[in-house]
Amino acid sequence: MAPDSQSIDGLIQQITTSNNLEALAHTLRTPGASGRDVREFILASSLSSGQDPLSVLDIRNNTLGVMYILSARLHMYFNAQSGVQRPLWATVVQFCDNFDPEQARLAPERMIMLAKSLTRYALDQGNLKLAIPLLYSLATRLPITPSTLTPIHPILLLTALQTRHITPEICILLVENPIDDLFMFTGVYSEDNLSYNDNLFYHYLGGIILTKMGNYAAALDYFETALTAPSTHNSPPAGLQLEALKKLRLVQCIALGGPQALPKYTSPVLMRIFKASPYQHLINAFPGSPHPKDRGEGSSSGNHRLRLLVNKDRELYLSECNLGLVDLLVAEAPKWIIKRLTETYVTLGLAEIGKYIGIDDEQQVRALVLNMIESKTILATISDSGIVTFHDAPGTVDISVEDIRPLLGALPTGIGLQKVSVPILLEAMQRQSAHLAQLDMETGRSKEFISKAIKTSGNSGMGGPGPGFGAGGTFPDEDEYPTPGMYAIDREDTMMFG
Amino acid sequence: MANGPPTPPPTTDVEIQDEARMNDTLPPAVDGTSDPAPEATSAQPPPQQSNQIQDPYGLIFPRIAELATQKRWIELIDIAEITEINANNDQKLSRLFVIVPLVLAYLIKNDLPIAKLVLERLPPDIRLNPLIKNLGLLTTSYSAGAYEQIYSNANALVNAVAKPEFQQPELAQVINIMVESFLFSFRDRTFLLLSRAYTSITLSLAEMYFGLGSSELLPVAARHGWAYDTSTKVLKPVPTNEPASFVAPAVSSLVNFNFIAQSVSQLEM
Repeated sequence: MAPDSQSIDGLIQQITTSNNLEALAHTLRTPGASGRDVREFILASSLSSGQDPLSVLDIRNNTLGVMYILSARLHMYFNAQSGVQRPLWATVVQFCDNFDPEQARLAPERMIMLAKSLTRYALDQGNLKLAIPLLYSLATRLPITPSTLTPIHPILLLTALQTRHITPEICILLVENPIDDLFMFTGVYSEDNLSYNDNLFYHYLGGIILTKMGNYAAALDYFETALTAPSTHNSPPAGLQLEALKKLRLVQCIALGGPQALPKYTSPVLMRIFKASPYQHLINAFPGSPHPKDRGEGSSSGNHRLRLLVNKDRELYLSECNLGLVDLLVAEAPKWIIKRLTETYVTLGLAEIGKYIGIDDEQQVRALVLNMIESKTILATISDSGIVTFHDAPGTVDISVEDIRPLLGALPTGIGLQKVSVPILLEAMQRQSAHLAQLDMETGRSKEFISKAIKTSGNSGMGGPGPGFGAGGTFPDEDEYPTPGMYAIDREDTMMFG
Repeated sequence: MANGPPTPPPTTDVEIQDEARMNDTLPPAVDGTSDPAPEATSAQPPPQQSNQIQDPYGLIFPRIAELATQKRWIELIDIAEITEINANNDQKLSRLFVIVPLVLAYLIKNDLPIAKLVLERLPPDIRLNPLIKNLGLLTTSYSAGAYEQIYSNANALVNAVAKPEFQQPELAQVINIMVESFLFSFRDRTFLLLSRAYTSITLSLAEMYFGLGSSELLPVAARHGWAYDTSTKVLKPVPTNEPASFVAPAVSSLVNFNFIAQSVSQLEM
């Protein structure tokens, strides 16, 4: 007699006794004769004894079953309100902390269903931010690597931003696990699948969070990903992509001094719209932007011009939630003027620098210069009389090991970092390649190699290869003779036939 | 005055009473000028009995205080963040028990962006609290690199909790410890920065950067090898990392040339 999949008791029995997970997944997924809605209802009901099915299941061992029941109950409770008993918050928390990812991957669409109900449940519990650690756990443990994008990722970021509660874990996730893979699956409900918008939202929101954290390099990457996401043929780019472009440009000015070239595959429609917006004028007026005409003569007047432009469109920036970035841009502008000065001057007094940037207060100029030295934007020293001396970096910028470490992400254990200068590195590499060349030559000379080479080449023309040519793999055709100029120095005699 | 809890667990006895006092009679205006603030926060309803016992902020505070005394900042941050994200009702004023040490710990570790983000999490009525306002001023001045204000704000914070009207002595103690650690690590960082940035610096300017008088500053400077010229009152910092980036490597350029020519010829082969 076939196991009973039409009652909750039967399902629980199968879940607890099944040895074959795939078969179980199949059973749970196919509603059979009764249809999908009835199956959901069955999953959401209590056992015939009145007991809660979740109390007999183990979260880790029966992840699949628990997942189905939890997602069904939460979905029905929040959408249908049909007297379904809501699972306890504590149970949900425990599930998110302890679920078995391998079992969960057999039915990912249920996990997505669960995730979508989490924010509703958290609100019910009194505070939306309670969902954040749960969503984080689901998003990072469900796919095989944490760098895989799931539909849960954008929900996580959106919740964090809405509650203004950005946790350190989220920041670490954004920086150390940029997306390089997609979590694709075909769900029963198509709205649970990974969609184009998920990618867009995740990278746009991720860019915003990273900008707030001051990690401009990563923020630029995220904004660029959002804005260059390809849209289907003939459809216009998304409005969100235009917003990403605006923010990208603003952050490029703040962090890099001016707009950088965008990838070739950026939508030209976006570029056109952006050029027509006031943001473009703002970018052009920024020192470090490649439009000298718009910069205006004399950088201090350029700075003044920047402020005028900002004030003109202040309302627009405010309504588009970019005013904070724009104000930061104006504050950072003098630094890029100073950066340009380093290309022309070796020494300059603080007062003179102040004249260039349009700031009279010497203390303020001093603070600005010190700030730039601290962030290693420039390499300079100040003397007690207020003269700033700019130094060149002779190929080795003063980058310390600590600066590199965040760029490398997580290193395997046992690998240390050591500061080494470029000439020394170059020398080491050249020693290595000389050594390799020597080894290669010796191999080419060796008797075994030559005999093997002749055997495999059969009638073909080439003899033992020399330095720079690899092991005897491919040989030219019979008719080809090696041209005399190709082999530079004296080598073994080549044997040629034909 | 609030009722004492019926049978509180002994370890949190003091905390619960503190918390009861806090919720009913909030910390009075510690800088004396912010009169609107008490009105805003006195609108807080008195807590129910059960709330006092379940208050996560009050319950975790002893652990935070312990970690602060041991200067284990990373663990302090971890525990505080976990409490923060799991706390259901975060409108309570007792949240200060966790927020203030958390922000100070981030400042000590020089993690400025997230310190600012933590302050942004707070609901408006907690933000009006004078203690939070002081903390906010310190964070802002730190972010702006305004050295004089950093020291004055740090002192203001310490003075604020030293007043007898401030009724949480344990929190005051933690704040004292942490501000002291902050100033210590901040001066350390400033020292490294100035060694790198200044070839010579006037004594008065150095006093401003360190927030110390010359009598305290000169011995420290001397210990690190800074030379002091009494006639001109000028200090000469010694760069503390190798000056390799300032000086070209002392290699013969002919040797370099041969080296490069050789590698290029090898490329040709």
